[in-house]
Amino acid sequence: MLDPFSPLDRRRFLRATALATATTIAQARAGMPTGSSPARPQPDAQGITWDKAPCRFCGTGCHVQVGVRDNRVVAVAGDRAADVNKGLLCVKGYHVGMILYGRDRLTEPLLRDNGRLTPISWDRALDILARRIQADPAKFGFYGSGQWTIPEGYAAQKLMRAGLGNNHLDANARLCMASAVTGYLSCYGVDEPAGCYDDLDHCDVCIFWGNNAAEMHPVLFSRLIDRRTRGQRIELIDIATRRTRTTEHCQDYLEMRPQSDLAIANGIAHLLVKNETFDREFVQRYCAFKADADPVTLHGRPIDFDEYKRMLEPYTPQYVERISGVPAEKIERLAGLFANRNLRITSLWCMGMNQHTRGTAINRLVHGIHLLSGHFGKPGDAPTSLTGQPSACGTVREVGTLCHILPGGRQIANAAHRAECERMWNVPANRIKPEIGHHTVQMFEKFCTPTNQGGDITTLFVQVTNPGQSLPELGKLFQAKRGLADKFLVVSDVYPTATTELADLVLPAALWVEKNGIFGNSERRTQQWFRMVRPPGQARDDCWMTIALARKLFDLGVAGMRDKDGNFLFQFKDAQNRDVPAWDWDRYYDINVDEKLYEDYRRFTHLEHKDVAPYDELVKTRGLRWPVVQDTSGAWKETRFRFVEGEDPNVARGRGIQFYHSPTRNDRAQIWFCAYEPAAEEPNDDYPFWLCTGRVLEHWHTGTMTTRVPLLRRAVPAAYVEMHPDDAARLGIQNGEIVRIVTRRGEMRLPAWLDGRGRPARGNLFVPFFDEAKLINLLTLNAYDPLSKEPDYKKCAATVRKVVAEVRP
Amino acid sequence: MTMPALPELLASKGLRVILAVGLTVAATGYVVGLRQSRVESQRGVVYGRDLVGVKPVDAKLPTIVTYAQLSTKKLGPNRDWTTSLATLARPDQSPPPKKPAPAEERHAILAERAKRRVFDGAPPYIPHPTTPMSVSACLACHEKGLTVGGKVAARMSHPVFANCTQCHVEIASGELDHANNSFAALTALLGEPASLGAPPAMPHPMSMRNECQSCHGSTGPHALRTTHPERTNCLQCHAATSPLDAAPVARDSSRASR
Repeated sequence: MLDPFSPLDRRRFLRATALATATTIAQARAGMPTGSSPARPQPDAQGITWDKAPCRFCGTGCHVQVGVRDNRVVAVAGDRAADVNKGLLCVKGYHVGMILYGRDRLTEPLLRDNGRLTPISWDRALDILARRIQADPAKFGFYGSGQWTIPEGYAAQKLMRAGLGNNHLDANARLCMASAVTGYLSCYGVDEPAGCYDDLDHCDVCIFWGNNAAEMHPVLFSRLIDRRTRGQRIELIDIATRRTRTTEHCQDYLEMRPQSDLAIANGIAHLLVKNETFDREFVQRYCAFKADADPVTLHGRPIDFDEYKRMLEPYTPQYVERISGVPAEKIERLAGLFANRNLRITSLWCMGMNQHTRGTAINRLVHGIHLLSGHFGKPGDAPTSLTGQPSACGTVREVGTLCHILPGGRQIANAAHRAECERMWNVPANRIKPEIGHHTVQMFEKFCTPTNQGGDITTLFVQVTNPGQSLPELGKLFQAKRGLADKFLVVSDVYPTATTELADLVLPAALWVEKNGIFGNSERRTQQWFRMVRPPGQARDDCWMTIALARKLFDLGVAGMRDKDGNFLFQFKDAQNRDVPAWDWDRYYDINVDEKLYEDYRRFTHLEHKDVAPYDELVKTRGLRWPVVQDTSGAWKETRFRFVEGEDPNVARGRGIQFYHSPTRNDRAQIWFCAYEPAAEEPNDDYPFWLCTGRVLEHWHTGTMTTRVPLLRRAVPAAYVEMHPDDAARLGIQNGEIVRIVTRRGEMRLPAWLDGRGRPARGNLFVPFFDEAKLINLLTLNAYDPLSKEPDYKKCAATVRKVVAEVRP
Repeated sequence: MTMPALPELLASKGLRVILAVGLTVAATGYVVGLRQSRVESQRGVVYGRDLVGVKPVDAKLPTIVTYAQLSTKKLGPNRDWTTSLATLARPDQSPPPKKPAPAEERHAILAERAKRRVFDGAPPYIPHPTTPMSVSACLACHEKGLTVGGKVAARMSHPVFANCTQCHVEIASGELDHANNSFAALTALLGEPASLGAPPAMPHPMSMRNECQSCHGSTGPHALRTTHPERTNCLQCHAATSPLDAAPVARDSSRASR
């Protein structure tokens, strides 16, 4: 209760009232619902307005409560109403509010003029970009990310495919989960996991396949290990090339030679078949078998069980031990767990299996042992891939911002799919080109190749990502752009990065709660938030940039910017049915553009039964997992377990489990055999070590946001190299000493950290990639999976030497 | 020669003297050790970070020796080593305050507390070196909380989550430099009674602070301690006011259980 006679409380009351009024006005300006449905949060006694948003960082999709006062984020708390994280966050999440306030935020458009970036107006910036596109629309590439919000990705999709008839649209998710996509597609015929995080609450065994969840998905990892604190029994098994914080919590650690995960998975399948401990009934009812065709294709060739059995024959535990270094009895123990029908087994993986030249193959194999043993479809029985970006699933996989796909799981190569999209976008037939575009590695290779030598990308627009640090073999795929006069790089970002370093035009972007947004997390959950603070200076939404760019092209007379009726592609109407010029920044928040684009996109999600929830339902909840369909009472219901009767509304009654998008169109999932093959670059006498790259808990990806947070920067200030203490001793390297790592592509000096955050197996090195002062990707390999086109950042051959102080002559 | 029997030993005059001296020392030590020294209680709370400033009894620090050198080199006290009985870990047995501390003392504590977190509500960072691999090391001190000398290892304010380093990161020395970030941090408020004599409402959200004893109990800073530790149903009188606490708790997902 406030005491009206206390001067302090009177002030507090007045302040709260003024803030409430201001907030209401701001919400009205932002196109937010201000009426009763549903009520927007009001300021508390301290004048802080708390509102929900998904965390900006990884693909877990934790919800945070953001505390805002005087147009600034002042605090962040875990959201107890969120199913995903139930109130808990990680150290990045608690400090996510600070990423908005690094002193070096980009606040005005900058054009490179005689080598120096100089401020220009937004109008001029967009005009320059539009004219370059108009001059040669087929040589324009648009590169985004899994940090694009769904409306941002959808706007990019529509501009490129419906507007420019250009398929050179790809996203950095190509570098992180493309192999998971090809894995799901070739096994189930449809992308994205069948299970969800609820599996973590119910499994008896959880296997981490090359996945350091304690650092990379800490909230999900805690969801598992906190069950032990509550007295539950849960067995955790780590299969990895490096001891990590995850290993410390696991009962068993299988230290394997890099690349040998395929042999281990085949070894498990071999024993299940040989001992006849596989789930015969499950396989007979729901599965079929496949093997690679020559050349390899996404759907391979069907085989029968006998052929499958024959192919597995060599993979005895002893043979697997020879390849992987994992003792045969540990392989037998794993097979024994899968043979036990009374256990619930969840497999988790992320970059270890995806960033792999055999990424599609190992994804197929892990799905395969779950299907073969019937550990599928019951709560806790699931093979699930985790994602590293907040909307890799939502924006890249579902909206289809990759060079070969269209929204809702449609394929560019499929004429019916193209025609359907043209109809839904109301654009003329054949607007969408049938040839797929350049995937990420190819796009940057073409961009870094002189135009007269076949480099057919000349103008590249990069939004929400930092390829100058995250691409493999940076010297070839990014830095070679330097000095190519006819190449033009446009980068929208929030801070100066390794990418803006080579940019010709830099556009300042709004970040996270400075704009409306929608993300889609790893468990098919679509999550919405409203703008809470204004972006600094002239920073603006990426979605607005795309729409304003389209309008520039429209004004320049580019025909593709009109639909069949002559209307601008991004023409929006307000509640009174009046046209709103959303390309005019001052008018952009007159309506909720996010809602308009999302509702437009939602029509595309029905084809593959990935029905996302209506925008208004997202506003009310902490996200909903698709397919979201109305029940008989009209309520919107999410789906936790796909393909499972009683859970998934698309499964026919009496079927138990129905793979209703089966690639063989007979409701069966595919169990694949894929052989172990050596890595693209194996160590030899000249390069005797394996080099692996990855993340640390405190930093997220290329560190552009987390290194601006003083706490996180202090906790892990710079990159280092981890190695096994025995290797270090052999080479005379002591903790903290500077060593020189060399690969066939480059070299780098780094301090050695022994028995620090992790301990690689003998013969292995590990370097985190967050540090822009130590671009480890100058050393990595650009070999990629033939199907997913995802590069292998986890394995290449390297040498390491102690740096001996040079003697001056 | 055979060993003398026990009665014979006790009968020996020299041994009787030794026993008497030993018993006296033990009794004195027991009584002295129980007493709260005046100096100690006035030190109030000192945080782990301050260990850096603690001078060892012998100001000359020993150098680290290798295992092989152990037999030849003399070992001395390390940086954090003191000889006082009072430095042994034990619960703080000082009586609860008779009345709430003055506002300036409480503000001083909040200011001190603010130095170890980025904003009010953020997980405090770790002001001492850690073994990053094991949670048991954290729980040894922080599960119940303890006082070592005047230094407090705060009791966890939330239930046990087994992955401590998920939220708490080590900043082993010095303060954070915020020069490159303009984040305006939320600061902690003092609880004020709504009217004279009324119990103060909770000035902070309850989320992650459900263990009131962490700050307001005997291992908390003096100025924040409750005057009435015998009453343990805190929420009976002290109301939560934050909208964060009004949020519905997560939906029950256990309906998926077998």
